[in-house]
Amino acid sequence: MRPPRGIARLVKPRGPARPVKPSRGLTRRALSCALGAAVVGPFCGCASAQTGALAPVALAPGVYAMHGSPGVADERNLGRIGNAGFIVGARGVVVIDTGTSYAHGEALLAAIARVTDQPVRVALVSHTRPEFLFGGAAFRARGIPVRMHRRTAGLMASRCDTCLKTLRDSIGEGPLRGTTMYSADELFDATHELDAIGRPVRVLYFGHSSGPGDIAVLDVTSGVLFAGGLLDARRIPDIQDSDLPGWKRALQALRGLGLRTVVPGHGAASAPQLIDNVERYLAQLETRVRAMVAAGDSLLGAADAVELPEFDRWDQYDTIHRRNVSIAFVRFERDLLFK
Amino acid sequence: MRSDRRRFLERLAVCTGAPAVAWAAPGGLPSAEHDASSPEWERLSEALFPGRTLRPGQAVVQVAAPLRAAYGASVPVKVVSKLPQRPDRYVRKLYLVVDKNPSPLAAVLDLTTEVGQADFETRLRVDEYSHVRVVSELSNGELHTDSRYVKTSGGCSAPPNRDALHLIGKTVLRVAGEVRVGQPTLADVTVVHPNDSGFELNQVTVMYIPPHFVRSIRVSYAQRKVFDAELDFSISENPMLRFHFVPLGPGELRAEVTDSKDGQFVGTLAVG
Repeated sequence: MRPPRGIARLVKPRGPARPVKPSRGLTRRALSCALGAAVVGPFCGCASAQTGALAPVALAPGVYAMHGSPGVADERNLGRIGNAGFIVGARGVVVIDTGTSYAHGEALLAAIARVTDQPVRVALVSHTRPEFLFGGAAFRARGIPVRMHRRTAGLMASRCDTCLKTLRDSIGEGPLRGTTMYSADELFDATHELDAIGRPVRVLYFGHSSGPGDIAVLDVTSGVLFAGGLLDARRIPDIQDSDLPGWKRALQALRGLGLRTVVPGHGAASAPQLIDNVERYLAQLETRVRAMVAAGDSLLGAADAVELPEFDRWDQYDTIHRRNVSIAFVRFERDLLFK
Repeated sequence: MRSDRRRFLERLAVCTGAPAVAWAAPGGLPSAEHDASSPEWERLSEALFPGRTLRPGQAVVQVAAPLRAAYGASVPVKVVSKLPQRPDRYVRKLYLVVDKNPSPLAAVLDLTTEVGQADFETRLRVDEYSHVRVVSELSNGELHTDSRYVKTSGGCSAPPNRDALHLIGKTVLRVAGEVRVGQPTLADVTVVHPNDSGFELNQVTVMYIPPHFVRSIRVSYAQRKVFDAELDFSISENPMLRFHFVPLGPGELRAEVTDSKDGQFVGTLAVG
């Protein structure tokens, strides 16, 4: 069987075209589905899921985003719901986020290899969610170190066995073949310049924000920011791991960076005004839920009561938003209790 | 020709998510009717109520829980009793069960007629998609039951909160709204407590956090027992119970708390 070269390829390869080995974790049928998607086109609901990760979008010279599918992880999108990206320097490539599975990690690496001959030097994991970290095993299998904040690694070690089990329940064993828990190869604690590819790349850590070890990655040359858990586009931000005041401070800090383009954790690459949208959602959520808690209302009706019409068309409004209301409710209650 | 067409259809089926024979069958997320049983419940109900009849339906007791996208670490559950708490016939005990939890029996409430109305609200940990059940035992020995199937959202558990360990045991009583003399009055009790199950890993040390949870909350008013609650780590962090009591005049609402490390804590509230 021929590998799925050239499917929905938006960016022309620079290096000589070379054959790409079929991903180990991808079954024959999945490949035939991917090929089928290209042929069947409009009849096939999963075209974007199968090919989305294989289509790097150039945002600036040497800077690419690889978008995930919208929605929750399921059998159709293979759980590939998070964005990834990469930056090509004179001496190599840095990858931001590793995908959902071994097969997804392989697919990302294959897509990168179609864009550049430069070797991948390091993969950064922006935050502790399955769709950003479980592809790490594919990178490590090729000797590419996976690098993350110490607190991201800690949270991963403490809960991701369970995340992986849940992911298996959601998308099935096939797409997760070869996907395992792993430990990061490189840890760090603070903002730093990454000296790996002959191009200035800044790893930004703002303290506990959207998550305890959440980072953003700035390509200094182009002003493109990979925002990880800090920003989502047209998708409800998930507050589960967050420190809300810390998150707000981080968003404020992003404003001072002179950004040109933002690659969010989920959703399309966007203008930096995206920061305002996320901030507005968080502010409205907080105002509404604090009022309920102050009134002594029950948690039972909270998710139904806190409708936010401005955001009701965002992806995961029916799930993450409802969960956010519960989480915020319990936290604000706790604030009162601790006084 | 025929086999080509078949392949094409299979491909379509795979792409549109319809089942295809050769496709590795994933487990998929479970689902169940609200009033269905489960293997866990079959075992537990036989152990708790051997040989006794459990009456389903919502004529005597009803349990309410969020029907979608619940936050698994803190799922609000409300028990509503359909009979007044009078000496001739009243709710003697309430059992709260989460079928799929490692320790399914979350709470046993031992009630008196002093509650006035046997309605309770608390928050449960629901580890995976599971039925949440109530069994109501009446003073005449009848057992009534109701259940809800709860689907939690998100496969990643929240990092445990360790912000206020120095406050462990702080016990806060509140009366919601007006005190109604001689009438069931709504109140709640909350204990600041991590309620650690023993199944969670510390994010820094990646070692199991030892179990440490509230075992009982005994509530009295004017030195008369209102209810005793035997609890378990299926109750969420900072255990909370919302209940009724009938104030007959000025008195002290009092909650006595013990935890699994023999910690003893008291909260009081002067009423009236």
